[in-house]
Amino acid sequence: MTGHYSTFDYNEITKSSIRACETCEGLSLAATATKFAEYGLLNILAPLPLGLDLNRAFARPIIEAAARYHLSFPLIETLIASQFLALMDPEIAEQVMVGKHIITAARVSSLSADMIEGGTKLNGIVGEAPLVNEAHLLITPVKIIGGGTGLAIIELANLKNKLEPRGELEIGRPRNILHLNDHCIPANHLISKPKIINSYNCNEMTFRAADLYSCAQSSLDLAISYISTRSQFGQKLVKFQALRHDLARARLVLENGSRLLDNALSDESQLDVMLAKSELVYSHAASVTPAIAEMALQMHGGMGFTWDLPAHIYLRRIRAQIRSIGLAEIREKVANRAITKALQIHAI
Amino acid sequence: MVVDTINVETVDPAAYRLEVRSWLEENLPQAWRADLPGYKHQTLPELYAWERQMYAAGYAGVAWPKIYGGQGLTIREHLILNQEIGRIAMPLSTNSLGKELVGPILLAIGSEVQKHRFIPSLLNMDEIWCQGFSEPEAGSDLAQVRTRAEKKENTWLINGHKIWTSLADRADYCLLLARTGPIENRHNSLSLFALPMKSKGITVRPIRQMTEAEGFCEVFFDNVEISHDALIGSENDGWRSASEVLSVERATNRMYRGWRFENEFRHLIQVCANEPTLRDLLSNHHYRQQLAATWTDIEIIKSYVLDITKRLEQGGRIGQYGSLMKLHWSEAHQRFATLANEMLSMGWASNTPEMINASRRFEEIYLLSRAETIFAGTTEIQLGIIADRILQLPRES
Repeated sequence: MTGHYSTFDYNEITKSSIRACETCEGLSLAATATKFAEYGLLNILAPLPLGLDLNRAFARPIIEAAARYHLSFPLIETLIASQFLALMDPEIAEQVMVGKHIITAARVSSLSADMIEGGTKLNGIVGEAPLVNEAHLLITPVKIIGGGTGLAIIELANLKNKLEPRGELEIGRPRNILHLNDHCIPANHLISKPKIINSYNCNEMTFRAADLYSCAQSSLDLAISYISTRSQFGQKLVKFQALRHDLARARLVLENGSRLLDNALSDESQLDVMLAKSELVYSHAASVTPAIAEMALQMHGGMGFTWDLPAHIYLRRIRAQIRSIGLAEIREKVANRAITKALQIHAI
Repeated sequence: MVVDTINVETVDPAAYRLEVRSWLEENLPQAWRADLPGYKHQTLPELYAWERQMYAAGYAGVAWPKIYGGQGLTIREHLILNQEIGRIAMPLSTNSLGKELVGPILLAIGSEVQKHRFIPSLLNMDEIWCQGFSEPEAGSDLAQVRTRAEKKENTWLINGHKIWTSLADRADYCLLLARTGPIENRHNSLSLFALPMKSKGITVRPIRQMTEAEGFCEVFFDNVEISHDALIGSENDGWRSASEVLSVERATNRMYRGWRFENEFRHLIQVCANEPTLRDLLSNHHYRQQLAATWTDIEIIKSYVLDITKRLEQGGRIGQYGSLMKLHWSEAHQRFATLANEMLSMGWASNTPEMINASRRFEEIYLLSRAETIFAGTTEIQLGIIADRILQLPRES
């Protein structure tokens, strides 16, 4: 474990994450946020003195636990936002980290940001974001008039009537789009520094991958448990080689993902290297995890299509995240890097 | 990989890498680099001489103790050497079974006499080894091995039949797995032997491979007598001892695979970029997505190797981890070989030396890759290991 915290701290965070998730089952978003804050899990990445300034690898057990317990609370958004909110608006950052404000994020938008005196004026549509109807704050990408891109932090208090529902693929996380017309935000709520934007993207990709793998692992665990106890044709399902091999393949794929995730979380040397690794791990996770969740559902036969079995919850969570982040564009970035690197180094 | 923890020399990793890279660049004949136009196949004596030259330069048995002919370095230098071997498209070892299987087993369970007798000679290519494990009725399931070794007063008497024995037609010694107790004892009545292939009563029959490459054989043992000191390790304990070594070996041998795969990937991209009829493929969405998936596969393989190295350095166990890496590598490499040939086939009208060489190389890789999911434990065996030992799925009702 890198950073100034030890393996012991990592294990403690893992235990706290599981306890927090167990405690939060059935609670509202607001109550979940408060509980997570009480367990000291929302400020681990934020810089001192508001946060603990831990290496981002410490976020992994929290994200994995939240995915396993299929919490709808926007944990990844909170962890990532805490890093830069603490620098740009400590007051809001504190509200987020003590669980009083809930923050969500959109991956795409058509928003233009016009920097005017005393603030920034936003116009356009924010793409699908989960939980905007309940959250206090929204992070969204914007195109800055005059050049460049940025991230805007939007307070949602007076914007609930601007929301347009877009479905609820993931249970407990309804998606909305948001229409903005000459909406003003404070000047310090627009982030235009490429370093912060890249760091945000890097963390989001990596953390999403951790969530996806954890959902797939949970699906696999469900399937293993089921076929180990269920009998058909006079014997336990687990004796059928076809099923054993399917499960083994899923295990292989998840181990492959774990290699990439470790790699993405361990490298803090250069932001462009980190970004490349985060895109690589996300594109892998998004490519392979749906099939594992679908396989697990299939292995349950008719049981797999029931509401009570959580196989569909993991599948929905995986599909919803891939829908919000996308895959083709990120895989294209991976391809571009691979081809560029191959052309640079190899001399025939 | 057997690491000598007593007589380990300390070297600067960066300097060692530079030294290895420079040596390979300077000494490997250009015509032997498979990614260069003008490539030509090597003869067996040429390859023996090349590997002898590498050993003389210190690039074989890197992490083995010096007293047995090794270099006395660590797994870290073993990794660096493999990375550099993978990076440059050089020929594969012609004594890989000796260097990657026999050597580690001897170091782990062989007698002192055997270590001194066999290890230097296999490193120096004076003695080539083959592996006598598989049999017609015992391919993946070695518990069914029926070749018997019967203990006589002064000798072991060997009778039986081995198959899929690579290099048996040229090997000086065979690492033989034979039954020394009742077959009901399955793995617990198997022993390992260093069997001289010149012994009376051995018949080697070549098997024609789909690639037409030579060296694949079946071997018949008809009252072959070998001395008592040919036994490696304890009687009836050969398989258990060897398995422990092999679990590490499966993870550490051919460590260059990820980097060689990367070399092949780069070669394909470079040819496509240089060849007007193929250039558009590099901007074709379908192929770019597949290339991205290949690149991801390569990064995974490299990551496995680095992780294994770290675990070994920290004294950790590898266990069944090697099965995960072997399965991923073999299937990913097959996918890539198929992709490469599909892409290159669209340059059929080109007759540039670069294109001709690339077509040759990737057709060979494609055919050879079909064996990669078969040798060293088939895909089905690896899946079984993962199901049984990693997932620990129950077997009995």
